[in-house]
Amino acid sequence: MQGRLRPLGSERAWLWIMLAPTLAGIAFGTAGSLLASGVLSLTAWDLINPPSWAGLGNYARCLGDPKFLAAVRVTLRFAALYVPLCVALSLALALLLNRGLRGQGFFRAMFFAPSITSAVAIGLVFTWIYAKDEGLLNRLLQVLGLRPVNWLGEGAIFYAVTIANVWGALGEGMIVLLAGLKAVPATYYEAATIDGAGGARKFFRITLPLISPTIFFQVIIATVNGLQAFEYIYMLTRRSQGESTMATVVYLIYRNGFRWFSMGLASAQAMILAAVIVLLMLAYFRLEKRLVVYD
Amino acid sequence: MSRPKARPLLYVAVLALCAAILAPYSWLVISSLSRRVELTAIPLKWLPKSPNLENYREIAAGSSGVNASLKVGLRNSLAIAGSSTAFCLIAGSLAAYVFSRLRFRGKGLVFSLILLTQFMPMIVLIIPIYVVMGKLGLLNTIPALALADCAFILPLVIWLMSSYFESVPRDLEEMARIDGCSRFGTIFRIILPLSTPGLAASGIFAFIIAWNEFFSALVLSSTLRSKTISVIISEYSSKVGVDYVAMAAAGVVASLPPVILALAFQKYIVQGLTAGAVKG
Repeated sequence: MQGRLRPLGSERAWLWIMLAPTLAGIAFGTAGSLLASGVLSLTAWDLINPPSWAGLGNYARCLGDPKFLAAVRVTLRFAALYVPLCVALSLALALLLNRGLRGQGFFRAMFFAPSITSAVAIGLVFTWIYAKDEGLLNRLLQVLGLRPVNWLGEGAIFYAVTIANVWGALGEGMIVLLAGLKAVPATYYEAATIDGAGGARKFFRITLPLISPTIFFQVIIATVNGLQAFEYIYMLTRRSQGESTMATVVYLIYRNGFRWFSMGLASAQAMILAAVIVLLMLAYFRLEKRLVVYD
Repeated sequence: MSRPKARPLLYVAVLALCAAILAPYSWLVISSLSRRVELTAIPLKWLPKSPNLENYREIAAGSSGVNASLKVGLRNSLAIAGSSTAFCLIAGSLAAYVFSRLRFRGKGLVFSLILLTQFMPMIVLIIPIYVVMGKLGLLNTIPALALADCAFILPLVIWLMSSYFESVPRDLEEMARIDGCSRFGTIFRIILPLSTPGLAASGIFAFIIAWNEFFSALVLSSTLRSKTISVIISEYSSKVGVDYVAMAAAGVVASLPPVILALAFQKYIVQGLTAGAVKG
């Protein structure tokens, strides 16, 4: 069957024509940009004067730069909280919706809504909810007779920002995990019931192993997103001068590149972030062999 | 599965979660319909006495400074998301067809590379993109922002469409070929019409992602010529003395198109999100 669909003669030309826009995009857009970032990271360039060779200077500067190291710490700390929260809460929502509720489609749509609303618009609301004076949350606390909290002040801001980010990501994880749950054959549960297995046992022995590929996929997505989180951080932590009270690596790169136009330094920092993401992926895929069950 | 007794409790829990999850968005909508006095009133007023549509009217009219730029931003957002979606649907489904139907050396490798680019952090790409757009004189233009969006929409469309094409029977196509239809004829007369649901799913997905894209829009546009509505909202939100109510109305307008699309085509969204994700 497939043999007849093999491109022949003049059709080979069409194959390349059909692929051309995509290949050009990948070559110039993605691969080209990655390569260019790599080269730029070895130079010092302010966009005005011609770039000068810096060798590994930018990388060395990063390692000794307290601002960058602080940003790395914040980013890792954020991801370490964001990823498990995202996956666990999405899974909890998916489990809740997988219990044969009536109106499941409606609830699924409602839970999903945050994922597709503009993060900037919702970030804006979060600034009002968290605001110190007249903020919704603090006014609620006052109604309850509690003392107001400076949600966007030092200390609390980290958790406030994490909650906003998790809130924005729950829906997508929930949909994917729900589909995973639905793919588990009902006969497995029936057999387990006959054998006298309880709810917890069924969850740990059937559900969890069978949806482990989906959970694994979700952990990867959350990690990639968590390390690059920007919108909510930009909306919630930006000060009037443009600096952030919770500068993550992405935020720092944004400032170095597009406020101070230190293109070489910003590129080096971006390359370091990309390398961290790649290394984490590799680590995950090593772990996958041990933790994930494929039948 | 659970005993009937536990049911009402389950519904209460789901409804409470729904309320909690929708709270920020609801507060945005309520704020946009309130008057400033009502929002800062003590004790807290939960709902405005009568909905105040003034701000929506002002954005639609686009008369004053903020509202005029919001209106331009809205138009830019539509143009950018619309054109990048259209381009990616065309280029992406052609590429997906190649990957699902034709055989050539290195196909698997090229396909995985394309999918891999989805995981490429935007932050690594944006600096060279900014530099090149600057050299081409495309900074602050709609094509620049649309092209940047394509960087992550195109792989997604290719992924979704190639898994969709797998579900379109090959026999139909072969019969058309035997009857003398050209390769392009079979694509446009048979494959694409049969793939309308897949195209719809990919298109909605692409549009929503492009509409919500913020980082590249923020970096690539510094003038009103190409600023998206999200970028404009983010700017005004940091200014002192910002009018909450006006910004809330703008926020609702900015988040409306994806919400409407997603609610209307929920089935497609679920399809799109779960394609490939479940099988691992």
